Amino acid sequence: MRKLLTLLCLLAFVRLCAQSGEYRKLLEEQRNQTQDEFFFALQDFQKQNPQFSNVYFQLAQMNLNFFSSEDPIINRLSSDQYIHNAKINAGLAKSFYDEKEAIKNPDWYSLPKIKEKDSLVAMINQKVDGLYDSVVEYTNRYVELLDNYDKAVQKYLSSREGFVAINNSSENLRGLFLKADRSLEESIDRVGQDFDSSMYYLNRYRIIYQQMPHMRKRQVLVKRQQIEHFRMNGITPSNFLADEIVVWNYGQWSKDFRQLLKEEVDGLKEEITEAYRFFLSTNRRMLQGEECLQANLENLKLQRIINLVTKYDNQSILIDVFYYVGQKLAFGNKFVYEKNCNIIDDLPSDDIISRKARAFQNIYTSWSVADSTAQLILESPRNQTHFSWFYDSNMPEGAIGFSDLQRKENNEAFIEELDRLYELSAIQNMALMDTMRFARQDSLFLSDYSSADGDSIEVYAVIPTTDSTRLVYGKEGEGLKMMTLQADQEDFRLVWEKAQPAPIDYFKVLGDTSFVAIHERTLVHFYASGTEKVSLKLPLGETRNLLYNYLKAQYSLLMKDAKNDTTYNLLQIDYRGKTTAQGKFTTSGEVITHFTNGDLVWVFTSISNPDATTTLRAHTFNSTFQSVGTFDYQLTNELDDIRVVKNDDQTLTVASKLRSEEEKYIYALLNYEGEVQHESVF
Amino acid sequence: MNRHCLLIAAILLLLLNPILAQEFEKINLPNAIVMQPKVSFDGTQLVFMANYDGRLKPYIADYETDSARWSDPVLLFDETTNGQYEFQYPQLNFDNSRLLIAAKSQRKADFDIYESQLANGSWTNPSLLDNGINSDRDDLAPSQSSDGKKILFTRPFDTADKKDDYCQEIYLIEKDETGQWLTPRTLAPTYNTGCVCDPFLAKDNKTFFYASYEDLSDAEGKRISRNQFNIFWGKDDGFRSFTPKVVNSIRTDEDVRSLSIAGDSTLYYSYGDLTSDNQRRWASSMRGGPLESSLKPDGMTFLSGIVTKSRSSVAANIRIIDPFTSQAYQDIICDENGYYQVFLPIDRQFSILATKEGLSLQSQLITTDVEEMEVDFELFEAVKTSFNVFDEEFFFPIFTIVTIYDSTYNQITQVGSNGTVVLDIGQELNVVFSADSYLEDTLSLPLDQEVLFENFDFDIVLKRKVKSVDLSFEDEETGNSLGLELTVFNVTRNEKTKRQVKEGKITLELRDGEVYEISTSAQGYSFFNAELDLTKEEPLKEVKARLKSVKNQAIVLNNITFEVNSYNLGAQSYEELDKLVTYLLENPDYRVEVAAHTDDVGGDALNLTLSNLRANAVLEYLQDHAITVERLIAQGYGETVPLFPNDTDENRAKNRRVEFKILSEGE
Repeated sequence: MRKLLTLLCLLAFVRLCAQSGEYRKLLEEQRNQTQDEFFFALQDFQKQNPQFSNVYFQLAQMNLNFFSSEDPIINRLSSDQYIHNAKINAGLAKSFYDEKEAIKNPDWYSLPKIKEKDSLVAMINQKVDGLYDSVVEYTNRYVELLDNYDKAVQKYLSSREGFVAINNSSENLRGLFLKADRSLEESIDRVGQDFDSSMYYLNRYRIIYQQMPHMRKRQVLVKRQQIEHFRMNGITPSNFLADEIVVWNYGQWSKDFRQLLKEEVDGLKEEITEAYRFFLSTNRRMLQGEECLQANLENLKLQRIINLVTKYDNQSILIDVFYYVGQKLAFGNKFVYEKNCNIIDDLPSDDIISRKARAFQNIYTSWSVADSTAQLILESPRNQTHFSWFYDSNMPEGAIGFSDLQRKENNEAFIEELDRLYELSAIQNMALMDTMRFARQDSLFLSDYSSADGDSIEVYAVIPTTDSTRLVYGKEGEGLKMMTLQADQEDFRLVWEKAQPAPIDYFKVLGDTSFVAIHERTLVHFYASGTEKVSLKLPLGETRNLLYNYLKAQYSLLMKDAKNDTTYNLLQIDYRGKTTAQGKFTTSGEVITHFTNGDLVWVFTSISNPDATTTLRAHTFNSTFQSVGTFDYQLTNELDDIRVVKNDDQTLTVASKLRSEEEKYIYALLNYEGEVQHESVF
Repeated sequence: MNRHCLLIAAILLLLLNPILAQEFEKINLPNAIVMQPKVSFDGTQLVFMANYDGRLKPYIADYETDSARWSDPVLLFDETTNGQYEFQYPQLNFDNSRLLIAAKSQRKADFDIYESQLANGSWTNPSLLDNGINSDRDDLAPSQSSDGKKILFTRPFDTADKKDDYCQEIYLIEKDETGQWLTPRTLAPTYNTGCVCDPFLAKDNKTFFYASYEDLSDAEGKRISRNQFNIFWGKDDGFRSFTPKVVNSIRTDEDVRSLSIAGDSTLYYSYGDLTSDNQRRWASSMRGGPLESSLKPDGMTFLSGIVTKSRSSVAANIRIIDPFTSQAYQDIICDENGYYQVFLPIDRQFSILATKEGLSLQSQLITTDVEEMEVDFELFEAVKTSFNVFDEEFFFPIFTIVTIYDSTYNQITQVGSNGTVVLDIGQELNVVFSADSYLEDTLSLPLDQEVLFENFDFDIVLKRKVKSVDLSFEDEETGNSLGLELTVFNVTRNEKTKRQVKEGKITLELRDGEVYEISTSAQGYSFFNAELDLTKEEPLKEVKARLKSVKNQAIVLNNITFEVNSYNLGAQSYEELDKLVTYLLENPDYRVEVAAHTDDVGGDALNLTLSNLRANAVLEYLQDHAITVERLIAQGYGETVPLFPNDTDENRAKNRRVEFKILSEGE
């Protein structure tokens, strides 16, 4: 038995020796073989000697070399197989590790022969274990390498795809800006995020790649190209296997574009909305009659907004809207100022009414511009295709509706002021119905005023002479009276009263808080205090207008001749009643008024024409009332209840009712040369 | 288990046979030998050899979807060509535009692989395939992969000990990474088992089938087939070779050869026994059948599309690129209808690139996640480009001269900025924008690169040139520098800004070619304004303003007129009064006295009254122009404060005046 065992051991030893010898020979022949030949020879040896450790070590090394020679990205299949084989073989090299044989053949592990056995063993172990460990590590890293590379490319492709889709969604940047919404912002963000992710994975790939055993490594440098022009840049694909990977910098583009959107779109939205809301609130305050409110149009920078809108959409009706907004605020400024700030408390003398007419002319000029620009919105070829966010939140009625509302609002405001002009004129002449209407609105006036003896007074006319006093013309019992009443808490106190010998035929507020009243042939010029300044006898005739020259203390009267309906007399008398000049003229028309302009006296008459138009005829006279000439002003409407007011030495105002529709007004501006410069119906 | 499967397959085949027989009724004609069928990858065409007229010739048939039958066969080549060659083994490529066929010409003793192109509906005369495939032995049975990069073919053994001349070896010729054909090599011995033939590469470019003449045993070792051809499945993914498997679903007692696949799993093959037919060994017909799922090739996406230009077809080049490696997966040329088709591995991403010289280059990224995809391209030869040029600061459009240069700055054309210009594709262009008073800008248009869009609408923002103007402000009397607020009004743009002037000096950067008004109302100084006209060519560099102190000084308002013996303002007064209005608006804290003076003509009282009325008229004018009355005092002085002796008309005219005096500054 022992012999048998010895024999078996001997045989095993011989076999082992033969095996080792064959293997040594195989390794020596490596020099004369190609790598593949040597590899196949090793494989054959391994099949014959499946428990021979070093052959696995060699095969593992060779597979690792093959792996290191491959392109890890392009040749994935083979790389995967080689590193797998290397790992299997390195594991088997460990499993079948034979220390004795290894000590005998350290050159198989590329180690020199060392006498110190322990050191040698340690070194061999380190070789075997080291190979296994590194192969395992490379295997894991290879998975990571591919994972990071693929993600880098994938994310870049997603980024590029998103970028192209955004480019595809509009032909130009303006289009993008106009439809910028949350969805677009998210798309832009996604492009940036994908790019950033791509660069992150690319960096990871670069780091891992540096740790791999590959012989020919790419440098994995990244050159980021700037995207400068919409649709033109950022399209061409990138080669991720180049040493220098040229990528489009979608990340920067995303940031820049979001910033641009923020600045451009948000800025646009903010500016437009702010300007419009400012307009709305200012307009509301103006309509509510807020005192002396003046919009600062310079701060509003409307032209900038118009240019801004034009830049994005030169077909936007917002251009017309904001042009109008500027004109409306200018109109509003004038209107509010004249209505609320420029309060003229004085009684409506000719001077005051002229001044009002001048102010009114200013309002009209602004109104006219505002109205015509509102009209432009209606007639505009532009549209409201874009800026829906603006219309939705600010102008639900749309630009057309906005224009309609504005025109209506402007007209109402203008008519209200025109009413006031009429009212002043009525007060000036104590036109009974009109002053009564004023009285009804006057909180100070008590219509049921009774005299001290308890008789009630039938009031014909009321004129406010100060904040708290009223000049009242009325009838007490059978007698006519002129009086001044003063508000005294909840009652009125009689300041003075004077019986009127006859009904007043003509009354006019003159300047300097004085009045003139004519009854029958007596002209009485008196102050608000009741003091009579002058009392004069006039010739027979119906007084149609009276002018008073403070400087010369002269009265200029326009009177209808007592005998001839078409004849009118011009009379100038001094404070003593002495006639200083007189003249006459005939007219088939209705005499309206007269006034002086420079050296000339102008008398206006009106003639209603068969074609429902009106001719205003101005007769001019020199200082001695000799006729100088006439001017005909042809108006296109038929006027009724006409007022002609001298604004200054260049312009005259005509205000009247429209004969066919009494609720409507005519407002016209004339020059001194027979020309109608403006004529509007309200 | 295998036996049961085989039985079921055989039953199925028997049941399907009448149907399948109908499918081929126009091909499997009585007494005809039909052999070497190859269905196209898309399953629409079939090429095969048949001896309908007594001689084996290559035919083609189309699949008629409505009748579910193959059409009447048509000769692939005309009789002349058929007379010049002896053909075998036709096969269509992936898009049916090219045919590979083995042929032996009268001038050469062995078979070689030829190719023929489809042109205008006919196949061109065959020409030798010049890629190193042909040898001085018979080169037979070509089967090209759907990506065009591999061809399997066969060569007979050259050793005499092989008993059958149809016993062949399978070879593979393939392209390397650069697209060059490598030297043909035999397939691994795993497949070349001794007597094989008729290889077919499935459309996944990995799976292949071939016929092998060998005995077959089942899993239990029992012989199931003896001495006949059966179809075997193999797969080579470029690195690993898979063990061959027999395709049991079509195994019968007869020889089965020449398998090809339409779609994913419909098999076409010839069958027949090996009994001698005089010199010919094959007496076969064609048959269809199913393929077991385990042997199916990998899924592929059938991608097709049309390339057009202005609705006309374009025979463009289509390049399929793997975006992960930037390597071309496949190159295709569209047919005369602009049509292309290709098979792509499923669940991968590809960039499809369409190019044609002189036309735009278009690409699209796709993911092959469905069985069929269509990607059309519209190419164009020029782009329509419009340029909208704006002012950088005010956004208003600027008319600009747009000059277009090539990459070396040779001028191509010049247009205005308000139109559209058509630019040919193919070269890089540089566009220069120039406008008066603006800095030039340049735009680079890389029209030599990929151009996806036909329309471009560029917004160009130009910067206005600026000119520097130095302003200095000093007290007229003392010469001291004045700190003040300056109003800079761009008259051209109606834009007003305020600037603070420190120590009497400021440099303004003003827009070239525009007109400005500067004005200031330094406290205690008279109103100053000046026009800065930058439209003029001569440079305006410096403005020195010497401001007059108005503290306690009366400033005469010029050109204030009244009607004679009247206090009505003459209209020509308004211009001067408007300046005063501006001044007072600019200085809202100022309170002023408006003083009116007369000469000595007329009585004192009258002159005093008149001057009071005139001062009041001025006050009213100011009041009517947004100067509140609280800031104003009107005072008539009559003839009491003459500036000059009233001894001449000229002096009297000077004495008839209106003045204003600043009473307080915000007190």
